[in-house]
Amino acid sequence: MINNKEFQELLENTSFRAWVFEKNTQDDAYWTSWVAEDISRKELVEKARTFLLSIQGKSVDLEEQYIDLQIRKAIQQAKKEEKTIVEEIEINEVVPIWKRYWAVAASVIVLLGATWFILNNKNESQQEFALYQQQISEAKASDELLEVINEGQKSKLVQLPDGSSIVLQKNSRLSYKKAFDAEKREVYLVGEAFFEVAKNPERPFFVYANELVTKVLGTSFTIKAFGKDQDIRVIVKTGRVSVFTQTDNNATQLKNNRELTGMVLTANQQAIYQRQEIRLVKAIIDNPVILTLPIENQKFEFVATPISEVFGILEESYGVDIVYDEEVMSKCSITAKLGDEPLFEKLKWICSITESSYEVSDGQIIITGKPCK
Amino acid sequence: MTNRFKSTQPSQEQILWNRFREGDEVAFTQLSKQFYKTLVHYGGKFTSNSQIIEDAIQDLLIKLWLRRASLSEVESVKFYLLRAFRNQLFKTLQTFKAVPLEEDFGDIHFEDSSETSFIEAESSKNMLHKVSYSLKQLPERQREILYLRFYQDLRVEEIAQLLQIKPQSVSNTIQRALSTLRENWEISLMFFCWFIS
Repeated sequence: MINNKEFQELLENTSFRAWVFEKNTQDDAYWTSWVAEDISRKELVEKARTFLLSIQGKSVDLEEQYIDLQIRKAIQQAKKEEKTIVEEIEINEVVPIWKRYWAVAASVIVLLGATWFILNNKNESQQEFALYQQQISEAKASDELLEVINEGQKSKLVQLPDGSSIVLQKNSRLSYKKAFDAEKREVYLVGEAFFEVAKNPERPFFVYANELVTKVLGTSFTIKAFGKDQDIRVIVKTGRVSVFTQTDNNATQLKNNRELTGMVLTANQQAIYQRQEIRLVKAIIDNPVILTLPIENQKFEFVATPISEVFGILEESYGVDIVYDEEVMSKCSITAKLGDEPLFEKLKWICSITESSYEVSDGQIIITGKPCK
Repeated sequence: MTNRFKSTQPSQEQILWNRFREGDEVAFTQLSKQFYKTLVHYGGKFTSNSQIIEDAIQDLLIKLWLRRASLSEVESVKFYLLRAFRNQLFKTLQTFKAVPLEEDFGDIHFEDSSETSFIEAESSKNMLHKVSYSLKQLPERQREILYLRFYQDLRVEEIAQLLQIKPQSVSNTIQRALSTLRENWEISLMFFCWFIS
């Protein structure tokens, strides 16, 4: 048996490691005589050597020429990006595209959520929300905006005038016009939210989240755009969305196109905007970690599912309270595929199946139903 | 008068690094070349997918070049690169939607392989096999620390910084890992000897 301390000491010995890894034959003599001094060292050396080789594992087998080529490729790519970034920065400074859309004037701010003043005193949150504030102040110039701030620990349901529903995550804010324009629907986000957009190809839906614009015709997706994060992400659950930066040369064209163009994402894809590198990349999502809300993984497919379970899923997904008479509706069940319809579309379906009706009161959804057979 | 400051003489690497920061492409190429295999080797401890490793190195080199002006002087170029590469690799793995990896450290390469052929004697080969096996039984973090300390020759403080833990716990982990390893290994050797006798 060899002693742990000696073992570790030998491993710490740089020239011993060099002898093992670099196979320095000129050191053979030294280590042979070292072993000869004390025969118990034979086992020690053998074990330490075996340990080192084992920790090393396979050596890297690459041709020098290949490495040279890889490095040259990286430098070329870097130089190319250096150019585009310079160009983008120039555009950034000269024409912030979204500025063209809004005339400058003062207007009243309507705030939902009483914490505004407290928040506003925090320096760091000011920075974090700077870009968002700038955008909504431009928008406020022409229209009255509603703002929802979620400072709580739970996610919060926001119901838009067009019937779309948004689940706003904590530490996030959303602003939108009290009445959407005839030809487009526009909302401003900082933070994270899951969107279910009511389908209306005639009236594209735009989300402005920091530097990124997401254009949608009707679909469900998540946006993560916290002011302090390095990346902005748009993660698509169903349907198609198009994503571009505010400063994109073709931003106007991308916005006005009837079709979705630019970087188009479909289900289970995501766009990642790397803010420092000013780079927009598209990737597959397969990592459930990035989806934090129950709704983002919920398919809303029911087969003879008891109504209590259906309501439970809706409550969990949208973070709402649903009030109904459990006893009366105990025999009701649902078979339906509700998919990415906004919450109130889903409720309409459920009510028509169960011959019940719903109303919204005090932030709760109240269902009045009949017993099912 | 003697100057007792350790770093009065910048190393060859540091000279190259500083030239690279000033935009010297030759120096950058030389440094990249010098550490390319080291990074590939480290990457190989996290994934067997060489494409991911090479992509991560490409992205790292691109970023380094783009950010050269904002980089600062470093004490050890190798440490800086290993750390930056580790971060980049984890990002790349995420976009490649592979499993995140602290779990995976070293699963792939601690198998015995044709590489071991330079250990001539059959008994040595068997021993290597046993050690590799015992090594695999250690938690990934312990394996990574052993690798960084004894193969990459990082200092304890550097490993602590890299893994964002206290230097003391790096030292403790090394001691603990080595003694667990030795225990398992004695047992498996005994078992092995008994089996062949």
